[in-house]
Amino acid sequence: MKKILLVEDEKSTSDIYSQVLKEAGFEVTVADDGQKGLDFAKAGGWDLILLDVMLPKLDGLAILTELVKSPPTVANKKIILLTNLSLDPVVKEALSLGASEAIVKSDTDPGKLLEKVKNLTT
Amino acid sequence: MYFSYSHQKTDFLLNILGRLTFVTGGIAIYFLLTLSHNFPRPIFKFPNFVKYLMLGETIALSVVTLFTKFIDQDESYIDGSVITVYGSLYPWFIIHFVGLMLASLTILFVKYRKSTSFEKQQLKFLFAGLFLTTGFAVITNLFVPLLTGYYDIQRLGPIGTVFMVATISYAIIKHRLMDIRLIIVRSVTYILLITVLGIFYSGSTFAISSIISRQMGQTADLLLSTFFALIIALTFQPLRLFLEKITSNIFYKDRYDSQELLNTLSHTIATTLTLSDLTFKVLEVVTTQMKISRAFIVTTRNKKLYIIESHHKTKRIAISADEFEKFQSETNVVVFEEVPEGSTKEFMRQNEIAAILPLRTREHYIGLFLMGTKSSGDIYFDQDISVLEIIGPELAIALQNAQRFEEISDFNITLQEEVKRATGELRIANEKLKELDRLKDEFVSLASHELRTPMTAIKGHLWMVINKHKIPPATKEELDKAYASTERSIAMVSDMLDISRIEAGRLTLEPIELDLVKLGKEIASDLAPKIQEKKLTVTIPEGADFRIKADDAKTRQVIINILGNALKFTPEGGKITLGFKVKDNFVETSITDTGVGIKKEDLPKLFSKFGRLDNSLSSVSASPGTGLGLYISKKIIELSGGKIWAESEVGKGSTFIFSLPKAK
Repeated sequence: MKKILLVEDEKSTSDIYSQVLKEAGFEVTVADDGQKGLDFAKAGGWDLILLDVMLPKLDGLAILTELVKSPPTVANKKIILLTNLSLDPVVKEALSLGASEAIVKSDTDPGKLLEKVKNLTT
Repeated sequence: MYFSYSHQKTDFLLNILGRLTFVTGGIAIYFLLTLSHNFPRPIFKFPNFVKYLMLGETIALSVVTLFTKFIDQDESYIDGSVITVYGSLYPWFIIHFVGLMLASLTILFVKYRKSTSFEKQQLKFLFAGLFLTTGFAVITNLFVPLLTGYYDIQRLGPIGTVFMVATISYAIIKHRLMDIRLIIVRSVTYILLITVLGIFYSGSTFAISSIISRQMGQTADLLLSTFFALIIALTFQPLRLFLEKITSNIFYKDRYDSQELLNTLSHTIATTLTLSDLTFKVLEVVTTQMKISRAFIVTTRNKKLYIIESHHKTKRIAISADEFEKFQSETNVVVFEEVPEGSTKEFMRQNEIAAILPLRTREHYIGLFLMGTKSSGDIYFDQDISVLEIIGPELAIALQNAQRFEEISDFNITLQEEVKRATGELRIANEKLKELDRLKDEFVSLASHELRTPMTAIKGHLWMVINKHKIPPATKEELDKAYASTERSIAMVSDMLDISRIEAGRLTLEPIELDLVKLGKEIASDLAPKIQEKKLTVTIPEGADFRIKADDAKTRQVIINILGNALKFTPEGGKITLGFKVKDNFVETSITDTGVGIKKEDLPKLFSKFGRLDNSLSSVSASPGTGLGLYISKKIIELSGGKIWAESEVGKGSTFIFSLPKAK
């Protein structure tokens, strides 16, 4: 079973995404703030991390930076930036810190996201 | 009349001398009239008959006086006095003498009134001298003897000439009546010349003839005389020049060569550009050559008086702006001795200024050239005045040029400083604007983030209800509309964000090689649900390879925009056709629909901000859209180096075309 870490503080969003992903057979772990997100991510071995940027305690970029500084023993396979923020510099920095792409949450829908996740994890 | 004789009887000589005195007086007064008329130049012309009449009258009077008894009947010596017995025509003499004298004085007086500056002064003294002398003579020689019968008073007559001598001498010294030194130089030269020649000639003749003529007789004397006469004739001119040079050198020790001075000045003026250099050099040349103790040039610089002095150690002059302006209308050289007592004279005295040359161009008063006394102590002569009159305009123009040059230079400097300052201000303003812009951008991003977050939640939940729950079709329809509206709100936020970036110049493009056919197909497949919903046919040409160099996401956005519009405005069962064409270094993409079309006058509005057209708005109100799509598309295409335009026919459909650089 594919392991997915969803770092997202907005509860309704994380509920919907985790529900759709779980129904599709993914093992989903939700972290509702940056610190928890970093702790989980550092454990390593995730097939996919869906990472929000605007997070309490520690933002998405800080998590990525930490991961670059001290990579987990078992590497995470893929990190995707999942955000409603559209600051180009932020996206660029995230991509340079190891995220493979950025998805604007409002522009997608649960169905499309599921498709994307399926594509990325196979 | 004034001679004293020891003989007691009337004699011939006394009579002749007496008559000669009258003749001389009659002729003298005629010459006085001529002098008055011609000095310094005639101001009117005597008609010929008047001229001849006066001359004839004078000659007639002289002849009558000398040869008849009608004027001076008899002169006799009685008791130590010479008694004149006047003839019957004596009043003629009186009328002649007094008439011509009055005429002379009148002419001089009129001239005095009409003349200016130093001429006025010269005439004043000449007039005064004549007036006093003749007046005195008339009193002593005519009125007193006639009225009292006391003739001895006539002896005082000649004393009156003292007035004339005094005033004319004064005028010579103070008012350049005539160059007295020239007269002295000439006199000395000729005296020396005659002395030298005399000594040489007589000495030589005597010496040689005393040796030779004894043996050779009179023929030799004649030959010798001829020989010396020849020598004199040949040596006269060179000797005269030589003596003249020596005397001139003695008397004109401070003389300078006007031509040389003017040449030097012209050269200086022509080769100097800046005001300070020019003025200082000119002062140096003039003071050195004309041997002037000190000199100043006063002019204006930046609307303030600018005073340049020849020698730094001398006392500076004190001149106020008012005093400076006072000379504005002065055109002649002002010489201290000729200035009447008053503020000007006081100004010159206080500042030890002997002459002032006003500097004027044809139109403007430029400044003043103030000169101190000459080192020799001499006054300013005609030569100096002439030179100064030539220098004046030339120097004025040079000064004006220098002033203008400086004004332009100053202006340039000011301009540079202004530009520098303004640039500095602009840079600061620009920094502030950049900062503001960054803040605005950040604000818009954060605001859009905050808007998007709840919208994402609504959209997500709606999606879940629509897709994961079994709901009645009527409810689904309602929820579909709610979903579409949410999407529209989200699109609006995205468009706003795009516009904010475009207008801040922050829209960054990362051109890569793109295959338009592949891109078109991907987009068409993304939009497939909508295409199917309206039963539209979308055609994309197969096979051909149309590659462009452009930003992937942004190009995609443009195609989605145009295609989205086409989907919206094309009625059910319609056709949408994509076409590609290579033109020069560009690939033109056309998207043609069979929609409602756009009125020709509405075409230009299409690509403007919020450029939605009324008719399309009412006809397809259900279609989501912000009206910003085409505006954003246009900006993206233009930033990518291409063009976008539309062609349309109402009722038949529209074609949107955009060009993008071809991949190499």
